[in-house]
Amino acid sequence: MRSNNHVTRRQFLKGAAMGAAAMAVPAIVPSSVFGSAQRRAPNDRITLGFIGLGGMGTGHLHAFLGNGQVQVLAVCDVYAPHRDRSKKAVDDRYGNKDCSAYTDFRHLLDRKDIDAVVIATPDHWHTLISIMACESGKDVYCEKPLTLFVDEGKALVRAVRRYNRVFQVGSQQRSDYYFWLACMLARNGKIGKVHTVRVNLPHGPDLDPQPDVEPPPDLDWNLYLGPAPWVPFNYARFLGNFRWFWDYSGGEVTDWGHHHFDIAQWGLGTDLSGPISVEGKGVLPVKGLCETYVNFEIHYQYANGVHMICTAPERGVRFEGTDGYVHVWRGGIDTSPKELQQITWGANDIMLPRSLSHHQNWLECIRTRQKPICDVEIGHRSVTVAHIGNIAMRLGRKLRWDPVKEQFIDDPEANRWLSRPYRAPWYLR
Amino acid sequence: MKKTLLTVTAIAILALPSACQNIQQTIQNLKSSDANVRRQAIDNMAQFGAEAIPALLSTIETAQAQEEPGTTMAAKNALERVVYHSTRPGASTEKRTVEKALLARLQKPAPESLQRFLLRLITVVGTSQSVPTLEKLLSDKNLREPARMALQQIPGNEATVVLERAFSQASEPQWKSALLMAIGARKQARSAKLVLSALKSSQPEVRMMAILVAGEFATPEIRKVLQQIAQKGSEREKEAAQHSLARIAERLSRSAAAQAAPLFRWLYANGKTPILRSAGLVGLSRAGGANTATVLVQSLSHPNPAIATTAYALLHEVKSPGLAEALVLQFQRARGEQRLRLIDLMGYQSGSPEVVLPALLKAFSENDPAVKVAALTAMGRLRHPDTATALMAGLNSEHEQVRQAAIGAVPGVALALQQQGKTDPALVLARTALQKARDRENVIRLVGVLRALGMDIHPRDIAMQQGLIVNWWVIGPMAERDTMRQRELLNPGSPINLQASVNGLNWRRVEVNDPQGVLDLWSVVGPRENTGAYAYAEVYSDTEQAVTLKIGSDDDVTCWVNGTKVHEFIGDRGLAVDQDTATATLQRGWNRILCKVLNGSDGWQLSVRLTAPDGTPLRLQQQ
Repeated sequence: MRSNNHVTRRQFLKGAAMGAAAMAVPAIVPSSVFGSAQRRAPNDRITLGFIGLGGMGTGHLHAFLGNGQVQVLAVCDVYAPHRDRSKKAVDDRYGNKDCSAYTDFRHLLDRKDIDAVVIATPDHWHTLISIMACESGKDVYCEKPLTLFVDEGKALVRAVRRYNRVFQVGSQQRSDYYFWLACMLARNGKIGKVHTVRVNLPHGPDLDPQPDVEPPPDLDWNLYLGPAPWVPFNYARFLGNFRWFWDYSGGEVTDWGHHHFDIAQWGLGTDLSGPISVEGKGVLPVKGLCETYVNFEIHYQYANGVHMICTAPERGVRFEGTDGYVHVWRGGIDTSPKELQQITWGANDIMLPRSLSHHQNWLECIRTRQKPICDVEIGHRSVTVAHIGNIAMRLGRKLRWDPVKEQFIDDPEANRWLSRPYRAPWYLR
Repeated sequence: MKKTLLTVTAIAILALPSACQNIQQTIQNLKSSDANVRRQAIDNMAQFGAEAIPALLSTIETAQAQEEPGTTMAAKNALERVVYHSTRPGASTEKRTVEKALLARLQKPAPESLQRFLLRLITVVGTSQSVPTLEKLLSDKNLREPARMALQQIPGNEATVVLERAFSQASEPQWKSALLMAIGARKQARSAKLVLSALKSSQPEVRMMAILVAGEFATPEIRKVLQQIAQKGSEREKEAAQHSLARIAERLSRSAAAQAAPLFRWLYANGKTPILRSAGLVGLSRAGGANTATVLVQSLSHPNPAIATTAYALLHEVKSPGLAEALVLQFQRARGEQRLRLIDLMGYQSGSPEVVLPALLKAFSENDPAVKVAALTAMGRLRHPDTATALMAGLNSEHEQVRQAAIGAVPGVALALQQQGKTDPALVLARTALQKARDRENVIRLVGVLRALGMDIHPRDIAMQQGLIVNWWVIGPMAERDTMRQRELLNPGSPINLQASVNGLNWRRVEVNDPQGVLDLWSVVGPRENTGAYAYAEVYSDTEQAVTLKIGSDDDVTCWVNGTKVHEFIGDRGLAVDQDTATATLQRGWNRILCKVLNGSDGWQLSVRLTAPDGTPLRLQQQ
């Protein structure tokens, strides 16, 4: 059971800082607005809209449909089969035909009765839709990788703060016990002084091309491309494969990289900072379709001397210290010494915040107006690590990074890669 | 094991070319059927610089025409390598030559896909040298958009001048908007005049884009026009203008806060939507300025709940002079739930205890339990020694919620008393609270406080006094949860041989050091999901007696006393001490208590308390 007291006891043992913070959380939204029972009356539920209903979006939709604290009011996708499938799922769940289905996300954002949105589009849309959602007063759950380039992240953080929105980045490993434990061990010196972090991601694919064709009639291809440069429709670029094109994503380095760099940064205590240098070599695909790296080796240096190495293909994050290591992956953890897995935390240990469910943490924060476990700035910083890794590989040289100014040092040509132009009429503000 | 950059994979991607290798040979290698040879050729191409560009472009064209996607991709990648390599620091001459070569090809007829590819490269590396060529392409219907995108990214005034000129000459509103977008993204101060004129355009599409990009320009003239549009424009324009004003105010707040505050105040007063008015409040709370505290406090009673909630959230963070006074003043006028919010906020005013303490103590003296609870909670946060008397009164309240609030407030205040050297009253307060505490978190906190106050108190002693079992033997993880639900992996009816292994596992002694006797199997056995373990204890009874077992578990639990099954819970849950009750008879002498605890996911715990049938804790000797 994901038991609260399992965690709160540990939180307490930390003593004043974390314990006080946890107990100081005010119930900001009055019960008259949202109610307080586990199963809420329909008019007390948080109302949700879903934008982007491919694989990840559909997963989120079904998870939230099973949550009595929310009511899904609308779905949106540029691809009719996904849109129709999602509307049916919502209507079947609620036993009515009330779910609205939109092609254009702007119509969904115009809905005043929607409190929050879940964004699971391809990456090149994440930032702009998120910013526009903030402008329309919605709280946001946005899939990773959070951004397509570094300046998007800076603009997004500003917008979230400007409108005081609750923003959860879909790095759900932050809500997983094993990853939390690994970061706790690293942060608390249980493996000695951390000197090396190994971030392991899957290989990227190298796929055969297909000819360009007319887009299917039930797809709004222009809106799918949105701010990305126009290209003819091609089935091989569409749906899940968007990840392997620079216009829409950054390959595995950003896709899985966002997840694992996020853990590395958490374990190193650099959530709102980053490395100070990066260099890497990547292996390009050669079959003619995909653009992003198939294989890679990226080396990062942090100000405290920690060396981080990102390679493929084993998955997970491994912190290596002077007295041992902790290696964590989805579903498992390994430590040296082994006893670290049975550790009991002491009063002087740093207690990282613990979320038992990434979705639930977001919903709770919507009510309390606290920052979620993976707030927008954390997500921006994590994916920045991935972005600068890709930039270093593409430029083929070592780059020095200023994590305070968020730009490369003494390298204006490299700094040009921190932003990209949007296709009109989409404007990054 | 430390990998080096040069041994990235089995694929040799960094092998350097021999001196005699020439461009043509490398291009031949780009066409190789061997992926490794192609990749090596791509890497090697960087060294040839601009000289390789004509041949690479020719290769791309030919491969495209012959529908050889692999070669096309390899040649494009090689060209990218050449171009990006030329951007390294100290290679400005090489970069200029490379750019020139790209432009030379762009000026000749070519397939559109190749031209678009070249424009993308220029987007990343182009300089003022590229601007004249790009300007010409702005009149090409097919290429004007990628040319505009390239101009947007090129540093220097030349690109801005060209974009502004193109904007002035264009008539089609969609295209004018696109050009305006590029001008806005460049954020050059010189463009403010053009944007100002665009704000007055007769073309709605152009006007709307001008409103958007105006957010990059904080000139007084643009602010004034945006404010006019925000009042008199179309509904869409009003909203967009206010968002741009919010961005301008934010920009000003970073450099000229004095100018930002009035703008935020204006937004708060005139915002078209609740989110815009909230943005005004957010900005105001950060920019500060006169009366900020008053505005925020008064907003707590705003009729729009979103704005009131924003104000409430901001007031938890803001440090504004006069805030404590404003809260107290508002509290005197407030009604209903707003009073509770104000009391809560007073608890955060640790810098002005002399202002808020009298109000909190007065609130505590009211009859409404909800007000008492809020006041005690705020006192706990304030951590001021002068609240000790009120807390003691709260601890002795007949109202359960008031008592619990007082218990929660005691740790902070007790430690504050200690800091003033008043350890004895602090001990009295904490001891009293511990006697009355039932909530697990509070018990643990109070034990910590008592120890910090110098009291020799051990969590396991507290647990034993409460009849909780603290000495266990544990074995696990045994098998999957479902397997252990269906059958026992040892015989509960027989005496347990603690020296014997079961399924290759051995029993382990665990002495629980927890004031509520919680055996944390997640820590002891390991963070394992979908599994189970057995926990075994022996207790000594001087006489045969009927007892009550109060059991808590996370998740499934089955209990046997002297081989007889006395309790079972099947299902997922978090542990709460005493959540289940069972009865059993202890025999004279040593008695065997065996529990099977199964875990679904995450937390995995057990607690067992023995009491007399009337609830009195049994302090029995434990093996």
